[in-house]
Amino acid sequence: MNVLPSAYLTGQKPLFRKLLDALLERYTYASVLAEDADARNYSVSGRGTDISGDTRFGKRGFVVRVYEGSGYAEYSGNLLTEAMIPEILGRIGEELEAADTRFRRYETPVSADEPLTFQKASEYETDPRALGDAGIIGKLEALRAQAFSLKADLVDASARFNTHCYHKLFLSRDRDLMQDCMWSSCAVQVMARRGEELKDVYRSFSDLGGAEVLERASGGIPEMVRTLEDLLGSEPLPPGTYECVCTPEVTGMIVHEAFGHGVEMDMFVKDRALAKSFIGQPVASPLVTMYDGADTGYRDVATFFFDDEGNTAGNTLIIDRGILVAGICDEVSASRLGTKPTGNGRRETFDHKAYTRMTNTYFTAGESTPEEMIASVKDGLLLEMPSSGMEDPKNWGIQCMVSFAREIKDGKLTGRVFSPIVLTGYVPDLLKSISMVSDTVEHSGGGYCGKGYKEWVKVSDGGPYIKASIRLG
Amino acid sequence: MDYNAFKELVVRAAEAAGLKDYELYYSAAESTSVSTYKHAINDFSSTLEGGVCFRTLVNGHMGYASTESLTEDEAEAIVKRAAENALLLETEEPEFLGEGGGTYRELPKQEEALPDAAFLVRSVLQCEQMLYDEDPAVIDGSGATAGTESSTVAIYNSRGIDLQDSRSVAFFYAEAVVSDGEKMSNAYEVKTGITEEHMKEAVSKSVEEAKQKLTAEVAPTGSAPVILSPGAMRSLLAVYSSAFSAENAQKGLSLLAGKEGTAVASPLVTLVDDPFYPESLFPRAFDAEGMPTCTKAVIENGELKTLLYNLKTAAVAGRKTTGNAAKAGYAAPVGIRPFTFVLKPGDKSEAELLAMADGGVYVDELQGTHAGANPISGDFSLQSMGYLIRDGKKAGAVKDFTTAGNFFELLKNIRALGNTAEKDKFAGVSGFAAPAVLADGLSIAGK
Repeated sequence: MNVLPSAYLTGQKPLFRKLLDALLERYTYASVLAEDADARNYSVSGRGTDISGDTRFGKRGFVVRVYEGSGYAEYSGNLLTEAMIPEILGRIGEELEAADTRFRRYETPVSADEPLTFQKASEYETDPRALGDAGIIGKLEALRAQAFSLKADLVDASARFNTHCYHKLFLSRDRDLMQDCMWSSCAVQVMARRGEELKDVYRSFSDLGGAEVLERASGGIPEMVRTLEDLLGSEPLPPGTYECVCTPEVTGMIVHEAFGHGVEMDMFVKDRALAKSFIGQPVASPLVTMYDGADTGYRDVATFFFDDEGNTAGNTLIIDRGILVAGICDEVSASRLGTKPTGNGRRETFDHKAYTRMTNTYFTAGESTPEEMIASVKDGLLLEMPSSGMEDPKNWGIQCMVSFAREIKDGKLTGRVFSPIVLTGYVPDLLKSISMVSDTVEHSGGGYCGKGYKEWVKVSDGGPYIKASIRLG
Repeated sequence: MDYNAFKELVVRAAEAAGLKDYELYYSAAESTSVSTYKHAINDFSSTLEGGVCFRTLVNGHMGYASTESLTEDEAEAIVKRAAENALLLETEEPEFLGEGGGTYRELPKQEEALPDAAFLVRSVLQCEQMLYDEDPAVIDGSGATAGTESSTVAIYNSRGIDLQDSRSVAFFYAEAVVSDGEKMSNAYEVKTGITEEHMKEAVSKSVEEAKQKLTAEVAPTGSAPVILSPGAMRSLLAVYSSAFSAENAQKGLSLLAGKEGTAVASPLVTLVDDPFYPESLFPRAFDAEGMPTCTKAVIENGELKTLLYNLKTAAVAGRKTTGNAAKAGYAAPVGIRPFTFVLKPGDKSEAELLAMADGGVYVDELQGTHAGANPISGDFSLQSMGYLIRDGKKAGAVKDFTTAGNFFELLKNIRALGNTAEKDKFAGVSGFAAPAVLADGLSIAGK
């Protein structure tokens, strides 16, 4: 089924159009982005049950952008009435006058604004609202009970469900776009104790869709409990450089944190990303091909039809068989760099600025099987369960945490487990060391991505198993 | 329609509906910001947002409704929706509204008008030029942002509470990007109050820090004495302040649950929550339930004196609220947060602390707390920048190392505190202040 349009946006559209028309009488370019979003969080654990509306993302409001002379200005609010239109015009006019009549503005060419009209919606199988609060909590309780049925002495098992249904309307002189999308995610955590040691295993499941993701979570719990048993006997890892096989989740973290942030082209404008000087040069093994886009063909959480600047979603080829070919770009940065936007201009919500942001970021599949890759390792590690990562676009440093590593000796897993693990090093060194890539890929989208520790947007990442030489601590 | 006129309509509608227990919460925020790039205005943006939340107790259940539209029709509609929502609820948890009659501290009025758009533009360009003039190593990409923020909060209820507070602030930040021709680094400094003197200070500090980072080498690995700078300690306090929430404690999400009255930190540690901290930009005399706020020791000489409570969690614990109810927005549920969390300074000068930590590492900055710090277990492993300490002085700058430890163990292992607490420069209602801290038991992992 398709996500249905927002009655609020449909009802308010004539008023947004009126605001736009008034702006276009004064300015070369004007646009209105309006948003209506509902976000809800549910959780079940030994500590109780929680149901809450997510007020960070569950908002409605609008932002207007105008272009004047050589730059742009924005105004956002959560209420628009006809009586407010002159006030908004006055405020924007005052700001632009302050900036333009006394001082030079940074030269930003006007947006292309090629004609475009569509209304599109994402699909879902199970509507969380139809399932109801009680239905969702019931399914989360069942996940928790499943974990306990597999290991009765768990300290706790918790299950969380987040669903975000959003509707966006974009209007400009030549564009009239509407989209209705829903993503949902389910995260499960199991905890156990051995002596003084407390360990946990966390896994998230996510989709562009509805409550059907809860069914997928159930299938992952047996493996989580087995992993938890292994983790209870883990040891610290001696620092050093190891031959590693990374699971798709760990690959995803490397793709996103180590490389993705470095090709956000708003950083190119300000000369803050080392990647800018590497366009056209090898940055990874020829086995590596990387994309980012909201239109990938996968049902990932950051899939949409147009971005927050009214540009259609894309799927940008970033690394082509080891060669860095392009970055991702918002509209203003594209204008300044003399290139085209890639559909990556995203806002946390309507009242935040748009920046170049990742969407669904991934490496493509190779030709080896995961089994062949493990069998090829004489003395190394299988890295699993990423926990956090840091971007460093200026210097292309990498610092990622993974929860544990399984020892591989003579091509076989020995059962020995090390935890926790820190990946460090120089990104191109790591990517150039990739010597095998698996023939299957997995994507996951349990988290959000921040820019400068704020401006959170939903993203997914992933890829195949990769084999590489990695410095670990 | 303004809030006061809307309030009158809501009260009339609530009385007409026969409601006896209800509350109207209003919040509005307005902001403007302007930024530069290459000696010119980069962008200009402004935001105006606000709304009200009406909640009412019907048969022991609290129904909520909110709206951003302050009109006569909506005044009646939110009363009706909230009453209907209350009837749909099945929860057995008790709900509370604040009682009037409390004593509220009088806060100084803000007299100074906020700067206009033209002043912001002039200031931000001047600040950027000062960055370029400060040092030839400063390159394009350096820039400045200036802006204003205003917020108003009001709360009215049927039990005698009728409060309003408005605050505003003007701010700017200077960000320096420097290069030595091969490497690049950046640093920024935030200040409130847009004056030439503040700009000079911010420019000088950001350029100096950026240049120091440029020379940084990778730190060695090992266990060594560690000094956390005021900023690094504030980062940890910000992450782990949630452990002091009674709501988290009662949900089993805090290791401090059940520890009130016991030692949880070194005797050197006194941690205070202060709604009236002199440097706070948004001091508050009342919390989100309309209850009076107060300054209180959360940890005193190492002993956990109290967690932070709102009305509901206080009732569960059988004690009084500490006036820490908070809402993340007008439509958000009532939660808990600190105002300004202040780790009280000790008696050591920076030179004395450095002498005590000879051979160790001064951690100036911790990054990635959103991902590398577990707010429940207290474990953290964070990318860091800082200095080696040699001969009792800050020696070479070091970068790309991990500082790892456990927050709750850190509190117990504090060996000395600097004699000056520094507050975060541009915080909202919740802020943090701390001195430099010398602690044992932290590990450093670099090359």
